[in-house]
Amino acid sequence: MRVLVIEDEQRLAENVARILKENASSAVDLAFDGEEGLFLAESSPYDLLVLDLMLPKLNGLELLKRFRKNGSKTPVLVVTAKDEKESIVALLNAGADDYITKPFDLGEFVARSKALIRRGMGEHSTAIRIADLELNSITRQVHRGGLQITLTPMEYRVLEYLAHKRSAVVSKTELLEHLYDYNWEKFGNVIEVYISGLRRKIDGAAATKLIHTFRGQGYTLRDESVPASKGRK
Amino acid sequence: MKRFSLKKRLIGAVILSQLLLALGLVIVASWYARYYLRSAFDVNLEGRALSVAALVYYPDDGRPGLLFDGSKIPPSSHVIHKDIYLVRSDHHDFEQHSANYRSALFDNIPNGARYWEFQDQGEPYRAIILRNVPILDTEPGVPQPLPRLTVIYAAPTMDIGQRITALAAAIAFTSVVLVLPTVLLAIWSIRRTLTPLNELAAQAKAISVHNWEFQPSEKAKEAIELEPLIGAIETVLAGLQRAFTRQREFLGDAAHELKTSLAILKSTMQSLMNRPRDVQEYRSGLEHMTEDSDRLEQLLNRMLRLARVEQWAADGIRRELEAVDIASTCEMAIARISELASSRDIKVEFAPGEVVLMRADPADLELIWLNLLENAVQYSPSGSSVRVLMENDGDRVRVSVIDKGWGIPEADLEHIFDRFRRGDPSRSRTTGGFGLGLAIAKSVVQAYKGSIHAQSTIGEGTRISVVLPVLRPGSSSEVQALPSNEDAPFARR
Repeated sequence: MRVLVIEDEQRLAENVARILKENASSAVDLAFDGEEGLFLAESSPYDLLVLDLMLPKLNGLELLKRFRKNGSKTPVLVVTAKDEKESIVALLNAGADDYITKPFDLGEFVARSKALIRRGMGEHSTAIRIADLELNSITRQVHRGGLQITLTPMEYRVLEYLAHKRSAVVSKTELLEHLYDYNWEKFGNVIEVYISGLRRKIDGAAATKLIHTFRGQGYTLRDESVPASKGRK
Repeated sequence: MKRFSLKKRLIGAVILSQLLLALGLVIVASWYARYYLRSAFDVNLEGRALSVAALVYYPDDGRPGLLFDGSKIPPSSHVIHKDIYLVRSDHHDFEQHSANYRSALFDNIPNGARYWEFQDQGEPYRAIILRNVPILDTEPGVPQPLPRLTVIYAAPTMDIGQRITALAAAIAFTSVVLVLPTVLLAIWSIRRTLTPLNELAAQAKAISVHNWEFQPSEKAKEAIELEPLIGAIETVLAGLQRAFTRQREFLGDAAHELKTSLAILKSTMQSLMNRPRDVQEYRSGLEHMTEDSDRLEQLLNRMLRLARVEQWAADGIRRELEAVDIASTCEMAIARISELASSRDIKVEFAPGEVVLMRADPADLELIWLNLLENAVQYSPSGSSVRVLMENDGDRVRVSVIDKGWGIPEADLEHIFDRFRRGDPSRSRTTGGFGLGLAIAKSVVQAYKGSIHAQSTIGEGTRISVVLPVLRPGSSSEVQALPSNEDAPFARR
């Protein structure tokens, strides 16, 4: 998952980014003013926007309105020091999906962020189940056939993304865009390395293969023994 | 405090005036009726007396003497107390009287009076005496001189008194009966008249900290007497509302700043505790937290300072003030800003001229210059210089802090002295300020009855000038107030 944090308090932004990386396995980009934030939000496909309201150059509410006007569906979590009803109503009406007031608890912040990312993916449960593969997005543990599988953080990110998009074919570019922040050099073969690692750990011992490669198109995670139940995309 | 109701007072006044009017009417009407009835009675009495005289006649057969036709006497007005009459000739050869006449009755005729009053058997009578009444009847051969008659006629006057009493009673009764509808009418009319006042009172009562809405009704606005009241309420309300709004904005801004600072601290702590870290990570986290709590402390100090300074500005300075040299306070401030300035590679230029004195606490003046300098240094590009200029015209001194920064757009210029510099989207914490410095400077300047203003050209820089009243050379006690503050004497102690 890739998150954009737009916050002019650099220290706060860095702390938020760190906790999102550590606890939500997210790639995080930072923007320190409104203009930069809007530019980044519109140029990359983010799974969540964390938006402060009092921003230099372009305030958060205005940014949100412009962002939504262009038809973006990315969930937006607003961070605000104001807790007056009117400003919260204005925020939600402008297209915010949730808000959290400063000073906030980082645990609550991570939980809200994850909930918004899940909802953005059309997911409501914190546990995803495909055949006998189970993913828990809270504990970030993966089981197959009841046995726990240990994954590296990047492998988990790839698997979680594929699980959210299950049954759909996900291209390498899409994976790169959603799993890395803009500071990374994006090389396609990095993905291939993670996929092969995942294949080994998940499908290696199992009779049913869940990870499938479509040459030239991408990857999909699905149980081919049953007709596509979710039928999305 | 005795409370009263305007409405009740007005209604009381109406009832009282109504009763007074009724009383007056009864008195005047009784008096007039008495006069009128008395004169009618007298005319009647005279008529009756004359008609008695007319009954005296000469005998047809030429005998001497006079005769009286008692059968044609007009009937008495009163049944029991009959009229009394006496008619006699001045030749003393003829006298006739009514059956109820007693000689004692007319013994005390007042001298020369035509009418008089007496009592007969407890009954008041009024009498007329007519002298020299000629005999109407004529008979040839009656010896000359012709006799003349004296007629006395008396009738009971009780009737007049009764009629007057009846009339007064009728008037009094009518008045009292009419008081009721009049009072009802008055109540209705008073209610109607007082409606605008009541409405105004109700609207004024509805005003509260949560509801500043004051819209006097059309009726209240139409009432000429209420105009000054409405005007005063509106003026006071507008002032209060502005003050409250400012206060609330300040509180909101202060809360915002404090919450943000706290959020930073808290996020650092929580992210440190998120998982075990190495010593280096803990160390840098603690360093960050120290920096952030210093910043929080600084913010709090500034807010408290602003609050205190604004209190002075409102109350006036009540301390015993010494004459201080303004230039030396500038130098002190420059010394204190030098560290920040040199860290940004900014030079502060100041050429102290003559000694200019004013009564002030040197710490206050230093605070003004320090805040202006801090602002200038923060918004100047590194390598540039900030200039402090002092001009003195004898009454006032103008101290300007001039930077070569980016400048401030025209629209934002009037807001730069606002607390937390609201509405300035370019306010960025990377410059390190809280937006309180200029507000503090402005409040201190105002406390000393001075003025502060800013000029700016985009791309060239900003000049913030402070004008303060100074001690005139040669006068040690008199302090000249600024023309803009003529209404308030400067030296308030």
